[in-house]
Amino acid sequence: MNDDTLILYYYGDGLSEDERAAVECALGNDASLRERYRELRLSLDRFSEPPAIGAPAQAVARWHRSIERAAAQSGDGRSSGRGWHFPSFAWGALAAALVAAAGIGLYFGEGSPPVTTIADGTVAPRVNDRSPVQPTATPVSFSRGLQVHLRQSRQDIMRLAEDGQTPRAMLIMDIQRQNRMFEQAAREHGAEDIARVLRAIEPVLSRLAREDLSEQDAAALQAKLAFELNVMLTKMQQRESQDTETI
Amino acid sequence: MVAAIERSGRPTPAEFHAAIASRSDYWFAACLRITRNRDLAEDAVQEALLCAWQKRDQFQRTSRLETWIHRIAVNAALQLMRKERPDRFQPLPSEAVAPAESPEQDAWDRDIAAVLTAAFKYLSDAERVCFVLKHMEQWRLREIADELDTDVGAVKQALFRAVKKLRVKVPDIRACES
Repeated sequence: MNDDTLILYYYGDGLSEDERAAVECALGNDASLRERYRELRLSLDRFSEPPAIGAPAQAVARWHRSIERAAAQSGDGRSSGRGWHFPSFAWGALAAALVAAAGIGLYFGEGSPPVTTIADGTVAPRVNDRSPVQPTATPVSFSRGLQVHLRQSRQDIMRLAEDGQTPRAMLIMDIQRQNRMFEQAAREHGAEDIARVLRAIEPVLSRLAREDLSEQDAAALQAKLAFELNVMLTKMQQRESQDTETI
Repeated sequence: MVAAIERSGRPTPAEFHAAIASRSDYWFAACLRITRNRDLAEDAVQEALLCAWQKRDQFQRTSRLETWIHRIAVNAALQLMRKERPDRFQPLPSEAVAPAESPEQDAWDRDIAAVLTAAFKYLSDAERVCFVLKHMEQWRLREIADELDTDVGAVKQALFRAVKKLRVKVPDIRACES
């Protein structure tokens, strides 16, 4: 039995049922063949190492911009103000903003107390300054994505008051969906601290969904979020500048 | 209420941005393995995103947006390579030697640093693409053959040659590096 057959057996593709059965039978009876297959498998397994390649920062920025432009051209952007999509996107942006603001705020915060109070009193765990996952360790694509959300969300939040048609609970569901999306992205990049903060935001979102939240309270929260968003975006950009200068 | 959200099945701009944030490194790496050219890889991802955006109504919520875009990006990379040189996936004779590398390509290889990727320079385009699509992207042999406009037998032969060369070359490269 030649190596070509063993390669196809390894991939589980390109052999008939009978041929696979024949290989299995031969592997069971022939020790030298088993050894050859073991070496082949080790080689192929080793070829699966992921290359340590990150996408260039300017390319990532270009990809984000292309989606922004496409969304704007198609009228499908978050700021389109069209039908029920607008508030959905806007609140989605709000979620992203909330997530990013809390995550980045804690992440980049200096001299913060051991715990941080978010919005209406919910306490989130503070990110450890000595965390092995430093901001500069997160991929450019990740931080760039958060920045895009921050900027868009800042605009959308200011327009939230224009729409009062969509049930708040539905909007919050959308927010929570976005929230989990960013939490997952944070986990995938090893930024467990940010992911933890995102999880802590869920109760805040649930409170926002409450029917008895007055217009004044909602407006106050909206203004606070817009302010926080500005602060966090500025901090993030300052941090980037510092990193660039250091480099 | 839930139905109202699920009715809007197509992905939102925010979901696209989140997908870029979380997975664009993987899309780029996959395209780079196929094209071995940074510019082409960047363009492939760009085209994939725009294609996915335009076809977002066809996206099925049963799969992940990132996975869907990944597949489109790989296809875009293959198309860009074909556009550059239509005959590049023609199978080479079994003993054929891969084309000589340009100084620019050699520099690129040094940047990559990944041993396996460096070893790819010993493969022809057809061998490399068949190996990447089978081994890294887990395509079926039939899918690869259809994509490259050839038959399964040719794909198998290219794959066998790729594995054979890599098994020889990868230990050599590691020895040089150490």
